Amino acid sequence: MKRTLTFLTAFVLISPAAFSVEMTPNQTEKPEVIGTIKNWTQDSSLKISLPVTKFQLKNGLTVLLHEDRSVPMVSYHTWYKVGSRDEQPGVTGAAHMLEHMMFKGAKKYDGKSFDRIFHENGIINNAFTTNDYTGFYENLPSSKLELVMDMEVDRMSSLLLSPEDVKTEKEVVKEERRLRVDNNPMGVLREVMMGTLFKTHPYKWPVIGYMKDIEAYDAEKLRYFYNNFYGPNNAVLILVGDFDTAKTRALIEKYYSRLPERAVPVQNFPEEKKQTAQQNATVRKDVQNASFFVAFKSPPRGSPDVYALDLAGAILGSGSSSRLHKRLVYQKQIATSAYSYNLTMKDSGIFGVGAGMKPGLEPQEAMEIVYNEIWKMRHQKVSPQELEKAKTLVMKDVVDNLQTIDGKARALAENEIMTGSYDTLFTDLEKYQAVTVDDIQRVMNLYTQQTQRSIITLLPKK
Amino acid sequence: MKKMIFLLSLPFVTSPLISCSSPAPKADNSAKEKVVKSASTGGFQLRPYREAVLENGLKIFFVRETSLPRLSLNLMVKTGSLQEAKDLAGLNSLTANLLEQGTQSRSALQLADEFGALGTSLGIDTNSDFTTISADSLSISSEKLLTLFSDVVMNPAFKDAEILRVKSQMIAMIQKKVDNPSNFASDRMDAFLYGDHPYGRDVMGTVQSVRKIKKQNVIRHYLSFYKPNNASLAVVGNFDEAFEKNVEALFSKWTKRNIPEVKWAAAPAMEGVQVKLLVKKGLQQTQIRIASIGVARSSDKFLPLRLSNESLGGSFASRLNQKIRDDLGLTYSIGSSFDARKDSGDFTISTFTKNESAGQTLQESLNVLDAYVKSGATDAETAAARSQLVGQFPRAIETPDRFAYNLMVLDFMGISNDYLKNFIRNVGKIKSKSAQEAFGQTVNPGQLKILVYGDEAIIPQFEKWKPEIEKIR
Repeated sequence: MKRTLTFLTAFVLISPAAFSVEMTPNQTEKPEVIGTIKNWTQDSSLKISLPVTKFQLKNGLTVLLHEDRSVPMVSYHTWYKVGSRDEQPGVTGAAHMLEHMMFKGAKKYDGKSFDRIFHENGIINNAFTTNDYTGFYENLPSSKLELVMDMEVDRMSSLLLSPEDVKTEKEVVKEERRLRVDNNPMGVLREVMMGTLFKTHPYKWPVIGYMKDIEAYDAEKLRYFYNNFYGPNNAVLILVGDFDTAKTRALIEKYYSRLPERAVPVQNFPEEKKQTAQQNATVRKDVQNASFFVAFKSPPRGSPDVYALDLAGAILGSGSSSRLHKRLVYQKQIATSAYSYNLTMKDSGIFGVGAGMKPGLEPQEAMEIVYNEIWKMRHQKVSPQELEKAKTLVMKDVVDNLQTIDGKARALAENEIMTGSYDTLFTDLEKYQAVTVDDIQRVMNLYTQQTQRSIITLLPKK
Repeated sequence: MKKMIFLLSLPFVTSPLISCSSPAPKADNSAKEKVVKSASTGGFQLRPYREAVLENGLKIFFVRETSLPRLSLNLMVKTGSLQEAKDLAGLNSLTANLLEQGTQSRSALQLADEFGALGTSLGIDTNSDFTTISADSLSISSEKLLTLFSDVVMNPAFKDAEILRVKSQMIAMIQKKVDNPSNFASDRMDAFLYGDHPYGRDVMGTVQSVRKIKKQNVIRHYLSFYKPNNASLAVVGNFDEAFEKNVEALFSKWTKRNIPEVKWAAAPAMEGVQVKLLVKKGLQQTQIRIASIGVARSSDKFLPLRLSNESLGGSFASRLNQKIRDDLGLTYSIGSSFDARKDSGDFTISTFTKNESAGQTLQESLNVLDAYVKSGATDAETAAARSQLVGQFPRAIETPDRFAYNLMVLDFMGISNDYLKNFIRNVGKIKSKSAQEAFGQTVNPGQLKILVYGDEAIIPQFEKWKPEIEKIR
């Protein structure tokens, strides 16, 4: 949603993670054709063609272009390498608040121009903020490309940030926080989980920020964020759709080249202390049923162990054929949902297992089953069929995400911003394919010991 | 977040309200099939497809798209909760969900494993009007997918243990609904607006009604409605002619039967402005719904209403969003929508705010609605709304799955499939005045039902509306 945030997107196999800034300006104009999936299958029908032209302007803006004439539209994405991890205590949620303010006018397109002009021109737009990045996008009739570019350049270079707008928008964001967290028990559970799992890293606070911090924002605090993180060298521009690559490249150079590079602060995050004992947290709310979450810190995007952990998460808790669903929902019939995933961010990952109980049931029995299933993954090899299924899930997930121009743009953007190279979208598949049943057992032993776990429980008020 | 979907995603795709249709069919030699070549919409080309009707009445839309290695199957059964008796509410959902819980030759766990091995699971979606059953896979697994899919559709086992298990699961889900204030408010708004009309009921039913459903009810419902002559099938993606033949051969085995006609109670007449307050201690935010009965999908007013709703509450630039969110900072999200269904759907404004500003938010929203009905959209607002509908139209049919879904919904609604071809042209023809007239004839600010769900402390803010008050445990 516009001015919204993505927090824990469920089951993320195509994991976000660490990035390195692209340092290869002025690459060849010849599109790099990627998408032949090696080691996947001998079947040539599984090849996907997704030719991308990548280049970097002198001011550091990274650009990805992919022509797709299936509809007369363009999906226009501008993602910035800034998220809640770049905040400080006291200004939590500032990255998200700034995302909201990006719709409140800039020098040329002031006041309510953004909403009005997008609407008048048949353009759908929105934005989102995560722990690691902030994304803005428009889906537009292809004839409106230059207009959108002019507007994006305007707010990348000269955002207004008026104190009056900040005052009103704070109220909007407070309502968003009430919707997502304060009036949403599962939102509270997620917030407590992150605060339990992380003790020093900014991942410990919520993307939307604490209410008292939202209340205390002012235009100056937000301008600090804007000045530091919204430069072209901290952004990736991705266009997918109905355009001519050469002409569009010329247009991008014309509009974006005049923007100056900005110094981006170097972040030195204090290292999280190694967890040596199980952690517990319990929240009581006026809810009908108990829920719980068992979480482990896992490695960040880019780490070699990510692939095996992603597949382990799928085997344990993705879909009705997963181990946890079969035991908790189908056989024992004590839970309405059971799931597991490995979420990878830039600086860390989270291997999480959770379940929602049926009303009236205590969570202990389900917790024991979860511990037992994790224990089995550490002590016994998964079957080759289960591993193959998990790999198929990953492959299908990639294919499913490429059905629309917007989906293609997102997939490219996410890989580019998290790994510094969009083609990890496909090269990662080779790494998933290489995972063995021994790898699954090894990573489960490495990351899911009892002393490494945090248990967060939501219970109905007595 | 029902009825706030428009803020989250494009409005064309998700609901029958916005379904669009196909190019004019061209005559074909075969009496039972037609091949539709790509046709111009006045803006761009619609993709080609083939439509076949089997002897048992099943209509199949074949939409071939070879750019990605995937295949999907989507069956629409033209039955929803509309066809349920009130005391057996939830029967259609239970029946549909039991399809994946075992067939004559495969147990529930076998089905889960076999679908799982393809990287997929069966998708089952039930609403008031119809039911969809879908599955997709990589195209290397097409034949296996077809085998499994046809098995669950045509040979369900309806074993006693599975019925008990799914009923228990549904009851738990119904009990948990109160913990999601937005969905809970929307469900209760439907009940308030529609009374005994089936649109007032949750498609999951109630704890009492689900408990009451017996195995014979399920079997009778399945045998009455889950029939080829009451269904259509979309086959979409990367397949060849041999696969098309296999699909036709497999589904030809499905036997047809006369479909019973079901009548339902009328929705109650609107009587002035009625306000219902649901209060629950401890809620941190108040949900607000303002509604009236709208139109059926077949209404001539459908497109003019879509156009006029854009300016009132269909986008970020709409009057409701600009006033209630942007100017006053009262909410994070506000929108209005017409949910046009087989029978008359609803018009609803949905929003939420902190408890302290609940009464103010309702009053300000009503003021916006009142002014809009009185004066209508300006020509500039209408022009912008038109641009929005036309500009975003291609996304409604961007993927072959969305395109096929639109074909099925139009077929279900009995609407000519010229709708898609003429959409851009027809939207262009709608004048401000006719959009305003349609809106004024459909929505009367003096005839509304309003549902508010918040903390007990909000009660004094609503005194002037003389609300009916219900405490939620």
